[in-house]
Amino acid sequence: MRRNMTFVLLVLGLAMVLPQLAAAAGFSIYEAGSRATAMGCAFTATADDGSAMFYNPAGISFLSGSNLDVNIFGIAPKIKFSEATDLSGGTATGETKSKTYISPGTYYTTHLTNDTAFGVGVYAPFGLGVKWQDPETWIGRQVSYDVQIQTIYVTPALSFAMCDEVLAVAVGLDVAVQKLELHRNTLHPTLGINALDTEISGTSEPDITPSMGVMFRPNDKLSFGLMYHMAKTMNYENKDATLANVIAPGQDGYAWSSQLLAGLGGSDQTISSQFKLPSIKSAAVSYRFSEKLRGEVDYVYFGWDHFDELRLDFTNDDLDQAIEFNYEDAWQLRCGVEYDWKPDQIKLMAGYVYDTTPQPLAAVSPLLPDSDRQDYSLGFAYKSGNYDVTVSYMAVIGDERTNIENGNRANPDPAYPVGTYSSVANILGVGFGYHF
Amino acid sequence: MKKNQILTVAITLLLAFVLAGCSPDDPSHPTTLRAPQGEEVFGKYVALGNSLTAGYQDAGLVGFTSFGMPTGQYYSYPRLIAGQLGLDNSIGNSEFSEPYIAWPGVGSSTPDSPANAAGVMYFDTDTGGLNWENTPLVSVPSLLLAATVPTPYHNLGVPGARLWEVLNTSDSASSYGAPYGSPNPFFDFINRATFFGNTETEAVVSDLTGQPKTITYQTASMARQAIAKGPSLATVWIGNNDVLGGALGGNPVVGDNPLLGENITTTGTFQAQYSEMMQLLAGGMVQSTGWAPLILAANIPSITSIPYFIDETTFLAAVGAPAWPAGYAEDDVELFTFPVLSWAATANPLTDAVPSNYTLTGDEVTTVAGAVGGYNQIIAGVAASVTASGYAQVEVVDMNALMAEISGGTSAYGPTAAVNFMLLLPQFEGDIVAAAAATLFSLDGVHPNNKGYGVVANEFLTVLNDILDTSVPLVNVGALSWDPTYGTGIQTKTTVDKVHLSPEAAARMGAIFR
Repeated sequence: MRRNMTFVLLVLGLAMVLPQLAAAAGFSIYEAGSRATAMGCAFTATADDGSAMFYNPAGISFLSGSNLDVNIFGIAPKIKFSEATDLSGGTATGETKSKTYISPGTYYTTHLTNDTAFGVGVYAPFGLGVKWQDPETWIGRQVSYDVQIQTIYVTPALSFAMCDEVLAVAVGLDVAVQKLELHRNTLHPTLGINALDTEISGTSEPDITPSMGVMFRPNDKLSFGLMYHMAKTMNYENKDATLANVIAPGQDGYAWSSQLLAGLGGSDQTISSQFKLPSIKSAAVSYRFSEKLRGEVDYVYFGWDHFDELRLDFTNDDLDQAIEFNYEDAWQLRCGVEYDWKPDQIKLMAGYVYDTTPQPLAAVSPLLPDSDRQDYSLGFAYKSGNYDVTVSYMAVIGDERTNIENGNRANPDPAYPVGTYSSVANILGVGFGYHF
Repeated sequence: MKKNQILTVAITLLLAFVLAGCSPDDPSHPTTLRAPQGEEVFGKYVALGNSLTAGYQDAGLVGFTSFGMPTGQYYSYPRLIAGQLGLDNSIGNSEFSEPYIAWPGVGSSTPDSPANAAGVMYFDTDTGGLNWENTPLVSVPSLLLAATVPTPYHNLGVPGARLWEVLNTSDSASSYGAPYGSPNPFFDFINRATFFGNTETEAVVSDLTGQPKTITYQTASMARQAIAKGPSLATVWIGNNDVLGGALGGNPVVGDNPLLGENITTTGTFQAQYSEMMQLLAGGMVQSTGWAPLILAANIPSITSIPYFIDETTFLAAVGAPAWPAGYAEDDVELFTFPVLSWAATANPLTDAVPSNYTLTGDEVTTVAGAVGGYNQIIAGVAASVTASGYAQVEVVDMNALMAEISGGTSAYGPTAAVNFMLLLPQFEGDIVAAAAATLFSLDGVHPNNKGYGVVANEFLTVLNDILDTSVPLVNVGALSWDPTYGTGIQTKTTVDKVHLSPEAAARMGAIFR
């Protein structure tokens, strides 16, 4: 029975490897566990469930027995855009489709020896889903009208307890694959109509980098945690790119689009690319204020500087381009509290996050209009016997951002619409735990 | 409280939050964009105009000699300006692209064979006259080096273009002369309507009083292609051909009906067309960039000051006679057209009066000057009005004053800067290099040569620096040279006692804009 259950839950977890999107600045998704999410993901110094595989794998040394945690997140983002008016009297607006993306977090941990714990997690720390309504007319369609990036990490880790189990150090491997899909449109230069619809899609080669965690629990009240996931470069070799002529034969402008397409080498192209993911570091402290109340503060640092550009190298060099991102490193402050309302039965959690954007103004675009964000979260956990269930909610509220710098377009490329973006994401998480 | 109740309350609370789900406010439309200033204006530049903008010279359009040496289009004033502004103006789909044409270039059709396009004229050291190579019309497309550049050219100068054509012409069939049997094929090469497609469309712009106004235009027109580039800087030099054709033919008549022999656009029509064009350009560029562009509008130089026109003294000296005893077909002759020299070579001075198509009378010069003066007033007035509307800053570049200075012989470019090479050659005792260096005009007597286009570029740049308070370096005109032999004999000295102008060459000079 136990083995069957484990198998079912693992399969269930892997089946949740579905589209996700950015829920933290950049295209990071820091929501790896439902309970952590309820605490604003301030979890590196706590890390006492399966999601430790992401937040701090050293935490698994302090778990007893074996644990299976399956988390499912529904993330519903909404982005709105209003064009700058100015002399042109611009009135264009835009809004992303209402869509709920599913993100997984499935973890298994156990002890191999008294001092050595092992765990494996499947989760999605980076992803993006920005699908604009009315793609035929969306003002930013030359940059993107639909982009989806999914990055799945599988992290096995070993954690070693030492110093009379007040200290644990863990090392792991982040094995990642990424799926990327981008849709954009090339407009006819004088008629202004949609001409070439471009779709780029592919799955990266697997990439393996180390991760690590340290947890130090000097006493019952205090806990310190460190987490590190190394930066990655996802390589795409010879993936599909399709250029479709959407001007019909006989329609005005067809000669241009068909000649252009023929000159570029036809509809079916292949593309190679590199997509860079930042390193993640977190330093955290957790403190038990009373028998029932515990709080944690995390300082999280993303090495976004690594994410400079997305090169799209087509077989036809004329199509080559680099989408400039030039992100800068960014930090987050995450605070969470947990209250044991009914000890060993019901916990209530809440959290607050201040999340700075890594995105320079020039990169604010229909691909991802990022901004500083503030997150508010709450949730509860209910435990019964070997099982527990956790429900969490987080509101991710982005600052409005206008891509105008000193009165100028922040990005001189006229394909980038100029105006103000606003964004909010609602996240509902449910976690199931089984402890044996 | 029982645990089930607690759970119910908690779940209800959570669901309430989720269902209430925060949603972003509709952001307000920001309005803080400002027009680029100073050097920011140089980011994207387009040029509209006619042959003068295209880099046309020696009665044809060509980018390179048969030896691959750059000339003509390569020295067009817009391309020179782009280079000074720091834009990549290399050949191809660069930051400043042009419709390059390979040797022997494309000019007017040869008078004796409409099946051929004549290339640029060059000074033939063997004959001491002008010569050119012909290309069968069916082979002309192979000369168009940039036909597949996927975006409109930055240099949209179309040889022969009239003001009306900036908005309304997409190809030769829709050119001004098409209904009168003179379609202009340069629109096919440069506007590329068959490549881009064309449709008639409308734009609502602000008129000179700030009221909405609907303007109809063609999507493959010069104006629309310029707007599509989203420029921050545009130069417009148009209107010359609204008066030039009549003058070159020796019988200028003001009126808008070519069927009645009228060949100079009336100032009323010019006013309406020029203001519509400028309103569309300003409004369209604002819509494509979000800010008011800077438009430099060159005015019309005095047509009769160009080397194509010569006075009586020069005419008689060139034919080697103290007088033309048979007289002139018209009274009060003030100027002669250059092709008269070809006619005179075979005419009998004792019996043949100089026909009226080779002369401009005092009244005709006044007519031409009146049209030019009227156009220039209109250009200045429209520039001021559109600037006042706030949709563009339109500044006039006074080419008329520049031409007066050059033709008056007082400019830094010497006393013979506006004299035809063919006339200078005997003066310089057959020294081709010296004679070529002494003029700013090309062999056709109408268009500047490489060096002359450098002077034109500097006139634009001087205004630009003045307006923007920038210090864009001027073109080093002294470093530009023009080889009237197109590489076939610049170093040779030739024995030239007088002007050798064949009837064919004379006909080509007069046919440039018709």
